Amino acid sequence: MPRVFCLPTSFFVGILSAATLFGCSQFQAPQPEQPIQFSHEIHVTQNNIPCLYCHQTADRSEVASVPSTGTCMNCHKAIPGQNMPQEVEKVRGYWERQEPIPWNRVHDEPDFVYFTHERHVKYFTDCFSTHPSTEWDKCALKEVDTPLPAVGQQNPVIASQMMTCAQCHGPVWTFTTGKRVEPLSMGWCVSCHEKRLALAPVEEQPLIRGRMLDCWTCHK
Amino acid sequence: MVTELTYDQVNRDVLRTLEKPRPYYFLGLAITAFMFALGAWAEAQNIQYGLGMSGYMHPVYWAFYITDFVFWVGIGHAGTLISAILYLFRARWRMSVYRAAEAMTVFAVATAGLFPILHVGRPWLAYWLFPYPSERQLWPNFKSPLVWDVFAISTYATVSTVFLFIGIIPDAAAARDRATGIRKLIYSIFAFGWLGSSDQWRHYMKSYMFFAAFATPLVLSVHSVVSWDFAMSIVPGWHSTIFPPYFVAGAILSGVAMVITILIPLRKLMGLEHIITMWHFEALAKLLLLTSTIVGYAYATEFWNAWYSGSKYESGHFLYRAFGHFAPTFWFGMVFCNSLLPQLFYFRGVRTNLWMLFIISIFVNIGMWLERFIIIVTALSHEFMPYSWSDEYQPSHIDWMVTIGSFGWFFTLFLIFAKLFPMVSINEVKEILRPPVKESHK
Amino acid sequence: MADDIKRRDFLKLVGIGGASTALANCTPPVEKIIPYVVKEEQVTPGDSLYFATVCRECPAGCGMVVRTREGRAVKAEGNPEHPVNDGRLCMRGQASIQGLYNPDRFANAKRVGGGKFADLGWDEAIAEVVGKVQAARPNGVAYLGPVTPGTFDNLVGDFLNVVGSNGRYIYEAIPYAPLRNAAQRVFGVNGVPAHDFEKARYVLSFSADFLETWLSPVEYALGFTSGHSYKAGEMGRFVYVGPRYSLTAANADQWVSANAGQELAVALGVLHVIINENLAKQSVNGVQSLVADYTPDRVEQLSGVKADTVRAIARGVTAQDSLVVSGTTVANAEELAVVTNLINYAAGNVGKTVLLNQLQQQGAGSNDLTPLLERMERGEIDVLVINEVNPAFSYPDAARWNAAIEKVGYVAQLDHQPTETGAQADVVLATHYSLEQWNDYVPREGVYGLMQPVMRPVFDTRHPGDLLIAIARGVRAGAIGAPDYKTYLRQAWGSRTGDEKAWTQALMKGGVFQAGSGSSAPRLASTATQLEVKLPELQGDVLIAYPTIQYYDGRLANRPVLQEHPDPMTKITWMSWVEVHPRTAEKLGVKNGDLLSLKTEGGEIEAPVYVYKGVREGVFAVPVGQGHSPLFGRFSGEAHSYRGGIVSAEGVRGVNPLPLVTPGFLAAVQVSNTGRRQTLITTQTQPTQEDRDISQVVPLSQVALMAQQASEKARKLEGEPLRAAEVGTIPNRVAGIQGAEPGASFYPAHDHPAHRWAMVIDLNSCIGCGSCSVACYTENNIPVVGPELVAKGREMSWLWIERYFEEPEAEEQPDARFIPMLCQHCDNAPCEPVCPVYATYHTPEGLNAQVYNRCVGTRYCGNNCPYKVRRFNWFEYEWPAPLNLGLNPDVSVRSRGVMEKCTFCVQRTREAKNDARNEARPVRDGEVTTACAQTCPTNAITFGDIMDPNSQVAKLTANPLGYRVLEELNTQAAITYIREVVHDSEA
Repeated sequence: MPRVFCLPTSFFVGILSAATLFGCSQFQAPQPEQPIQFSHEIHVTQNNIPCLYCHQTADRSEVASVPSTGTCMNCHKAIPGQNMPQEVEKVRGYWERQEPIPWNRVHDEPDFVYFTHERHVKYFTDCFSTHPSTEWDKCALKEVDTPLPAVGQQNPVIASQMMTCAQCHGPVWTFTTGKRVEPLSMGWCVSCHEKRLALAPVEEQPLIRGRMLDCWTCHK
Repeated sequence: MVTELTYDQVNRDVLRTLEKPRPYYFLGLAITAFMFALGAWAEAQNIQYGLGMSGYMHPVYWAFYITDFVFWVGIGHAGTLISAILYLFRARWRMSVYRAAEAMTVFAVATAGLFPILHVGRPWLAYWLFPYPSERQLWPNFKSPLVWDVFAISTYATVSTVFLFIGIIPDAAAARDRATGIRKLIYSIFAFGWLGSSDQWRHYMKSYMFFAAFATPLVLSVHSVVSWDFAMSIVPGWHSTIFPPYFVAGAILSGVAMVITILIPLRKLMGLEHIITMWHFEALAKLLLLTSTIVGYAYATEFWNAWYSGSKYESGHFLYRAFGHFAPTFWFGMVFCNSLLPQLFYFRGVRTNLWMLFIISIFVNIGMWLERFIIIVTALSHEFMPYSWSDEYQPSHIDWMVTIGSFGWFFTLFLIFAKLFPMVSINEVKEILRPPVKESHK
Repeated sequence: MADDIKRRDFLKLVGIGGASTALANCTPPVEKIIPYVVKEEQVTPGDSLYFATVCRECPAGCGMVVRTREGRAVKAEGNPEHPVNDGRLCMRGQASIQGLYNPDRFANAKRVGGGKFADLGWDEAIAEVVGKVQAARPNGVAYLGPVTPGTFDNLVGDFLNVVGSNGRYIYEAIPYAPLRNAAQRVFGVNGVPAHDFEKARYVLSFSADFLETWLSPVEYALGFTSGHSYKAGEMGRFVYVGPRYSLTAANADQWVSANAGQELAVALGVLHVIINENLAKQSVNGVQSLVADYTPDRVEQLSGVKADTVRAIARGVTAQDSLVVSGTTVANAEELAVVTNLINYAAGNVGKTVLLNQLQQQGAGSNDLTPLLERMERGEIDVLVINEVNPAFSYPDAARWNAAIEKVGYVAQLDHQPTETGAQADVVLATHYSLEQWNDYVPREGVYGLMQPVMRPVFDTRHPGDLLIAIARGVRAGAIGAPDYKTYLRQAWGSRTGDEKAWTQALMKGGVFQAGSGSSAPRLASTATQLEVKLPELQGDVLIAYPTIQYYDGRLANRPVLQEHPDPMTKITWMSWVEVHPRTAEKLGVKNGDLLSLKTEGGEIEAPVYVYKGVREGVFAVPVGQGHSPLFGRFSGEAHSYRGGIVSAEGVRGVNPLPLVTPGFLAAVQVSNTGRRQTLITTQTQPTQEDRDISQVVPLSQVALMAQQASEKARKLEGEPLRAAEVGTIPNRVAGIQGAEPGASFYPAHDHPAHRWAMVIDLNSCIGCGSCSVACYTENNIPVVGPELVAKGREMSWLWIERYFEEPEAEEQPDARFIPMLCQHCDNAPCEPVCPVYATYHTPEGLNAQVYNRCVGTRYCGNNCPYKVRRFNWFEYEWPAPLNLGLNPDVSVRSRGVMEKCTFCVQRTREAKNDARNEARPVRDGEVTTACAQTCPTNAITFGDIMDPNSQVAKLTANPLGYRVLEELNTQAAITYIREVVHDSEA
């Protein structure tokens, strides 16, 4: 498919094809249709389920991982779902057929990009748990101002977790299905890495720079 | 001298060349356009399937396309030399040939400019070589000679184009005054409202002088920069301080040869025998002789350097060049065509024989193309690591078609230009004629 | 994609997945996320899971650890716990992943007809076989299989009992039966004695290629190099006797070229001298008569080996701890092994380097099937069950086999891939690949390797054990104590690993490993010297076939990476050739690439000439492995590469010499020049290194001197403080290497705040086998480009072995040197400044990085790299499914138009740093290593952080024998090579 696209046309209008090349993620719908009208809002804000309950590996692996149908059924075996039972029925349908739910990808980096949730989640969770939420607004890196849901405000652990995810995924607790709120483009990544570098004490900066702004940090 | 010519004769004869073309013109145009189409198709193959369609191999990572690039840049130089430098030196003989040469420069650079793009693996990203602010905060590497190339070539293209069209202004006006309809419109655009008032002439001559002065250093700088693509690397056979002058001389040699190759048929076809005369050709031949001698000397120096440096890599390479797999191309191209053959121009008889001129200039064109090929391919075939030595480089049909296509592209542009603008500068030819005077004033 | 997704399929897709989609993706891919239905407990998407198993690419039985991601195997590595291979693998083991995902594997059971395979339902297939077995006469069923020491052997026994048969035949094209029988006759033991190469100061090999194929090459490679290479002022000696200069011979201090088939004569000669000069450390009774006739002078006439050489060898063998080994792909293999044993005995090696208490278990395999063939010919076999052996291809007397199998009532083939033998069967029962199997393998007494499936089966196949059980139970319900093979195995292991805990430990460890039992005291059986010698009568030209390090006996010919990897000695790929001595070639008036016709009683083949000093005059050597029938696979068949994809065409590529030779792997041959040509496809056209000093050696006598000079230089520099930035230049200072002194450069040295990754390659240990290269292919998703493109010099290898012959024309014998070449990660990298877009640059950790997606493809870096280690993607290369499942998800698959090269396996460094940060500690030395260093059988490659002065690599870099290739270019390479120390004189 790249071949067809990269024909002489795109050679003569290099800019266009290049924009395509690097804007891949932008060109995708920020909130694609999903097989199930899953609502983060209901699960997080109304039912106080922490992020890591479903996205289990976000703090220990490259990928955050989408929950298995089994994980859904942990609750939905019993809970029919008041708000949108028909959607819950769909989930149960997949479970009975023992089929996976074919979600459409919302956040996608090109294959030549190395991104690991682990490092980012660990870093921000560390920030937001060491500093009380009252200080958060002073943080140069904090991206989101939407107030946390009840569970977040009561429980500092979950709060730090939610704010961590929100750094790149926005106020997920207000979403229905997954939605991309940031461009996830190189410039966007680098700008944040630079802010982080600026936070580091001067003597550490050479080291940090190597870690955060070297091309091979993110390109494989 | 062409003194028997009068002003209106010149106007008539030269402007006649702009009239409705005859069939053979269209035939020529068709042929060149077809050649260009071939090249375009071949390049499409490269882009669609990858550069593997061309003959490249490890370790010969540069071959035909860079050869063509250097060749065409070289062609361009003679144009600027004749139009700008000789203008500053007041070489009167340039008057009637410089327009053709200048046009040749512009189109040669336009052709050369394609190759750096064609030869890269991902041409659709070639614009990354230009410095421009991007959200990725990435800039080109100003240490890389290839980036210098980008600047050198684009500057050269701009300046020589401007210079060409400055020179055309009065002629365009002359053509405008005769033309009608759409042609009139076109010419009036290029004439920039020229009326030929003495004021305009004064400013015109000043600016023309200025542009000539501006273009002159480019003749030296551009090809020096091109030569640095090679000289700045550590490849034995490339890494040499004599490259800039050596390449400039070579550029002018090939350029002059190309001027001769073009002018001889052109003047016949356009019936300008009495304006572009043997006097001009002889002058060109002398220039060719001079540059050929310089180039020949450079060839010898290279070998001497290799021996004197005592570097086993250098001498290894030059032994390979002279006696290795590609030796025939070396002896034929560099030694016979470029160094020996032009020496015949010491003889007036040869200098003034159009056929000899034409044939020798063709040989020099071939020889200069081969020179670049040898410098590039033999050096890469025989570098430091014996494991990677290879005699196996072979161009594919794609290489040939793209090369032919570049000639098609060049001559198509040239032919179109030849019908659009006078190939001989009317006003400058007039400069060297006796001004017309009324009988009564005698 | 979304509909009817099988469990296996979405395991592939979970998480990031899709690593196989190419890099320059112009349109946004419509990507799905396919989560689990029920998550596998042990699998963490994005993390690796490792399973220990046993490599079954050859009978050596090396331990293997397979790395899996999201439930699919991506890389095979040696199991460090395993006593045989100590964490190393040869190139065959490295390529096993391509066997697992081979696109030409059987997807299910097949009915065979007219050489074609048609789909067949499993129940139907098994029912049919059961029927045939039931219908068979008493003892009408026979089993033909490879050596499978371990539980599977018991199962075969049980199976044959159930079907009422005693017809068990074990076939190996490279037989070890001669060694077992000889040991039986000489020492009265039942098995092949183990060899300890490390203790041997003097190794003598009679055509035993123990660095390539012989018995247990990985184990012996490490043992040999650590025993032989320079240590503390002295080094061992290795003499190789045989007609061909093999890779093993190339690593010998002396190659004694002997007439083909006359190794036995030389061996007897050596024994003769030992007896007559009373050199024996242990007297051998009754041997005098045996060796009486073989005086050195007679041996010289027979074998062409100088009498003095024979004497010298005899003295050498007895002067110190030595080891004598004999090949099995030679004439009179058994007799030769007997004499070899006697020499070992006489030289007092038994119990020292020849161990009778740890017997190798591969001895059952024979390449002489006469007993079976006779029964087949008499029509006594109603059902022949063939398990993963391919005599139709590799049996020396192919004609006889082909005739005999016609007379068999019904043939059931158990195999994972189509073979020539499979085409002769009636039904094929598609089996799991070894990596999908529960099993065990016992290469040696006390070494119980355990095999477990590393992933779900790729295709709808069955375990060979399950099949035998199913058939047996079909014949007699409830037969065989276990319903399936896993249970059977577990029962068999009950004694070894009683409780679950022990079993689990065994699984994690890769098996149970005990020291050899019983005594290894020297003993001599009464039959020791009962031997009648019949030397082969070969007049005129001789054809010898030799097994290759890539294809073993030809079974691995369909592994693309092995096809693409050049032969270690000739550097030829993707084809067959015949090695001819220069003078013979002159006589025939042929040069490289001329097609020779070779005719023996066994048939006729045509192969292109490779003129090679490494064969005796009048000897024509042809490698084994090519010449498979097209059905064997697309890569062994007549593969064509076209615009980056490998397209298979019907047709045979190369030739198979085995049918032409006797079980001794040689035959008299008529040679004629066909007058036609076939260009040799090779990766190295320049045989010598001219004056370039790429691969350097130092005579033993010079070592002390060099060390002294180095220490003096070091002392001179003692005073100067060492700036961090200069650590990269440690070798200049310490090892006395010429090169820019710190500060001499116009530009400031690079600053390495955290690490500076570096490598040391010890040429004393490097045997040029190429395992590193294949490991690199599999680790870094390097594409295989196929014959046409390799012929154009477009192979993509990031790491290769350069083979240079040191031969002044007068020199009679070749002298090969090997040097692994890869990106040197220079501090002053010539490639960096010339890249116009910073696609290649210097990382803070001293790596010379290549950012693929930034690369425009000007190839300037490639031109300016003096080591020529940069490869360009001329096309978009393809991995025919399911080979793409073996791609490493941590490494980008490069698209057409970008440059690529060695990255020092940056993905591994990245992982190690991640772990270190999780544990809030610095990266430990040895924690991270590259794929090449990891697998190198001889431990020649060391990788590490040179900023850490205590790291292994920093210490080795300071070796006085260290040098850097093309030092004078001042590239400040990160790779230090250690000069090979050689004996001053040969004899």
